[in-house]
Parts: sequence; structure tokens; C-alpha cells
Amino acid sequence: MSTTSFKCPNCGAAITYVPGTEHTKCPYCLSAHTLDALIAKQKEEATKAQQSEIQERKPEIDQSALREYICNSCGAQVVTDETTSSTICYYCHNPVIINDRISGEFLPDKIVPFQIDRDAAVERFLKWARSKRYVPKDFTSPSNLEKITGIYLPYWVANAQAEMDIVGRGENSRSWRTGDTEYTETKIYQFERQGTIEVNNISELAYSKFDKDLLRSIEPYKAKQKRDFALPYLTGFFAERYDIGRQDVEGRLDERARRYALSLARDSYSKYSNVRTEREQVDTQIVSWEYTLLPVWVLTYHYGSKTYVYAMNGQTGEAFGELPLNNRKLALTSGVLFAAVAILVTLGGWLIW
Amino acid sequence: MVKKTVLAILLVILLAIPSFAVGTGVYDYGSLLTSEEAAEIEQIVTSMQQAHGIDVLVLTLNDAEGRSSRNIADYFILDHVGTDENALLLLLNMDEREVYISTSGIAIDIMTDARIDATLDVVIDNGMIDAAYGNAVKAGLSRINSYFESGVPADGYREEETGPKQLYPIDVALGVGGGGATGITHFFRTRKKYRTKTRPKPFAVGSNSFVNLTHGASGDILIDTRRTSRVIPKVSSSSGGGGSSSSGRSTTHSTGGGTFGGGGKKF
Repeated sequence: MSTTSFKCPNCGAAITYVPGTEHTKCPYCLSAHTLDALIAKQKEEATKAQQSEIQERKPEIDQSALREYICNSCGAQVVTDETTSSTICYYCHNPVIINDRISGEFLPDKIVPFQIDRDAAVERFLKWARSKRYVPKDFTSPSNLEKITGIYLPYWVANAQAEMDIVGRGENSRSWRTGDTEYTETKIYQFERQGTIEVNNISELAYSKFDKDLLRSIEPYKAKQKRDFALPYLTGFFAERYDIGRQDVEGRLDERARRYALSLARDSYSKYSNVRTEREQVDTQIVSWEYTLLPVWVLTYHYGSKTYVYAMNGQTGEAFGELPLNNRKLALTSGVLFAAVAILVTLGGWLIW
Repeated sequence: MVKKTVLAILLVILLAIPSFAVGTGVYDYGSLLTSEEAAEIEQIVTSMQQAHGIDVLVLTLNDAEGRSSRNIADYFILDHVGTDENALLLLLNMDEREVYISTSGIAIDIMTDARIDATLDVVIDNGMIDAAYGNAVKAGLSRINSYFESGVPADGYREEETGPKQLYPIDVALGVGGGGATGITHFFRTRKKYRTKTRPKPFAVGSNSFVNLTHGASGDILIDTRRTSRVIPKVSSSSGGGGSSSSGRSTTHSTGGGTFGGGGKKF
């Protein structure tokens, strides 16, 4: 299985993408390289490799079933999850992209690059975790912080269009007083709304191994920073390819598009306090799809018999985490609180009576 | 409580022996009065009883057997007059060097705290320090008689005495209950708080949409206007009265099931 590792053109060391920029950085010689230059170099090397492969063609095997790759930095054989398309070699810690899992139908159309780097992610996590009194001590330990991982997760993003045809009646009332008499006037309007509503960037997670609701808690992602996909964005980060097909989410996305379009149409006659629709026809159609990778910082923590997940939007920093609770610590504090209040109330009663 | 009852019974037995009492109103167990003085005082208290319907007792003691003046005086009234009967007792307690007045029934309302205080001053200033006990008692009774004649002050009221601070089981129960409730609430509220639930964010429809809708050929059309009216019913209002305050307090306490007023002073 072929892999790609972006190497520094100056010193040959593995380089990583710098979040929030359009370049990579070599951690050894500190030189920076634009993504365009790296893409050009990678294409050149891919062409050479293709020619070499034609000369020494091997028997065809099912590439998608392979879960092992050879690290082209140290030559070690490393096993990955079958959906992992970008990872870090366990042995030499160099970033490696598994080409077959990021090509063909798995080649993403778009990517939202990381804007928050690892240090900032750790800092934000610590700020959040240290404000919680009853988490286990090692929740914020350096060994646990090392587990914070930047990962690109696959999403299906749809752009939809809805044909709207709505007819109804709206009422507005006003009241006023003259002497002891209260008057109420109700005006009834006939309204029609016809035309189209476009709803873009409706996304659904295309990866089954992550809790969808947890990830929806760290949305939204800003579409403005969406870029055409390029391999160098992945270097230094993990990435997963989709395991939920487009056809599996199409129905849900279509329904969401319908709901959003209807809500927008209703906004246009929300000036009426009372509405009765006579016709409400909404025909939605998904006009385009984008297979998109979105950035997430993830930390998993095993405590007791449960795994707790902390996730942070790699673009905006919006975070959500499940909190492990140290029951012993909590019980002790509750006991102290019990004793303090009991003594105070007893003394108070003694002083009052 | 048992100790108090036993002591009371002993005192009753001791004090009920007729040879110790000078008459029905004077009990000079401390031998502080001459027989002439005792007789004179006996006449005074009898006339006070007849004039005002209030039993007036005079008691002198040299040995209080560790009991307080108030305890002795209150139980003496209970045993010799009865519970909540109209009575006043003037006690000269030489063991504690204290003059004490105990009141019961209507005497509580007549002898306010201020009047008792003034009477005690009169008793002490008229012979207690100079050992002229007969004069002291007579002066005191004279002042008491004047108060009996004045009757209950117009602004008189009773107020239950606040006793010495004690730790009651209810205090401990409230403390344990309050502490338990706080501790348990803290425990379970924290657990609930840590059980974080995912909060999926709503899709930002506004910033991801483009609306191109026509509002009919000529916009929204007014097709009808309806007007209704109603007479607003009148609302009547009323107001309540306020409270009032008064002075002339008579502080009361409970002894042996009866209510007593009273006060004492050392000399």
C-alpha cells in the first residue's frame, strides 16, 4: 500500500501543516514551505512511482481490505484502522498519509483546515478541566494531555434548493380604550409566497465511530474558511475516510433542507400574529454534494469502566466534553459540608432559643 | 425535673409546719422580724387581701438549700395559694442576700417589671442594708398596695421570659437534618452536573441560505377588518388596618405548671 510523507525539501525531515496558515513547517530546520510547492513536488513523485509500478506490476489485491502500511520514513510495518487515511507512524512519529484511502471515491472535495494548534487546544482543555473540582487528578496530567489528537473527520455536505408555493391568511389585532369601553380591531390579509430558497452547507457526519450528537455540540464550522482539498493539510494530523455512504444520509439531509426552507418562508409572514395556511407546497432537491473533512481536537479518557470523550472544533475552538467524576472526592466534600452546616445550624438554634 | 419535685415536696413539708408561720400571710422562717413587726405586717397583708382580692405573702429565709429565690417564691405560691391564683409573695432570702417578688394571676398584670423594680428598690433602701427588716417589708408592702390601688396600667401587657440558652434536641435534629440535606443535595446536584448531555447546535439557516420569494402579484391583500368592543368591569378595592404597639410589659415565666411574673435584686 503506497503512502505519502511530506518531507522538508531542505533537510528531508517530516514536516507538518501549521494550523491557520497556508504553509507547512519543518520542526528541525524551521523552514516553511507553501502548500502549492509541496503539491507540485508530490505530483512529480507520484508520476515517477506510477511509472515504476507499471514496470513491476504485481498481482491485484483488494487494497481497501489492507490495514497495514510501510512507513516510508523508517520502513516499519504499521497496522491502522481500516478507515484511517492520515496517521502518525508509531515508531518514528513521522506523519504518513495512506494514498489509497484518500483517492478515488474517497478523495475529499473540500477541507476546513485546522485553525487552532495543539498548544492552544491543550490550553483551552486545561482551562475547562481545571475549573471542574471533582475530576480525577490525572485527567489533566501531562500523560493524558499527550493523548489530545488533531483529527479530520469526514462529512457529507449538501447544497439544496427548495421550490416554495404557499398560500394562506394572516391576522393582526390591536386594542384600545375609550372611557370604560375596550375596542379590538382585527385585520385579515391574504398572502402568497412563491419562489425558491437555497439552503447550503447542510452537513451530516459520514463516520460511524464517533458520537454524532457530541460532534454537533461543537458546530458550526465557518464555510468561509473552507478550501479545496489538498494533501498537505493532512500532514501532522490524523484523518478518517467516510464509512457512511452519501445515499445513507441523503434522506436526512433532504428532510433538513425542507425544514429549513419552510422555516425561512414562515419568517416572511411572521409579522402576522395568527396564520392559517391554505396551501404549503415545498419541493426540495439536493443540487450538489461536497465530501468534506472537518477538523476536531479529540481527547479520550478511560476512567472506571467508561470512556470519556472531549472534542473541540479545530476551527472555532467550540468544545464539548464528558466529565469523569471522582465520587470519592465528591463524597468527602459533601461530608465536610454536612458537618459544617450541621454544626452551624445547631449553634444557630442554640443561640436563637 | 424529679430533683425539683422532690425539693418542692420537702420544702412544702418543711414550710407547712404551722409553728414556723406567724400567721396566714407572714412566714418568718429566717427570724428576721420581731413578733410585733410580724403581727403588724400580718394585719397589713390581710387588709390588702381583703381590699384587692390578692393574697399577699411575706417569706423570710436564712437557708435556701441551694435553690434560687425565684424557685422558692413560685413554689411557695403554688403550694399555699394555688396555680394561677391572684397572689404576690415578698421574699427576703438572707442566704443569697436577695429580695424577690413573685406574682401570680392578676398581680402579674398589676406589678409590671418597672413596678417590681421600683418596689425592690424601696425594700432595699428602707432597711435591708441596715438590718431593719420590718421597716423594709412594711415600706415594700406600702408601695405594693399603692400599685394595687392603681390597678393594671393602661399599656400593660405580658411577655414570656426568654430563658438561659440551652441546646435542645430539636436544635441538633435541625442541624443534622439541614447538614444532611445540604450534603446530599451537593452530592447529587454535582453528579447531575457532571453527567453532561450533548447539546447539538442549531444549524445557522440565516447565514447559509438565499431566499427568493415573491409576495403575490400585488403583495399581501387586506381582505377583511373586524371590530369588536366590550365594557370594562369596575374593580372595587379595600384596605386592611395596621397594628399597634404598647409599653408596660409584664415579663412572665412558667413554674410547676403555673404562670408567674416577678423579679429580684441583690443587696
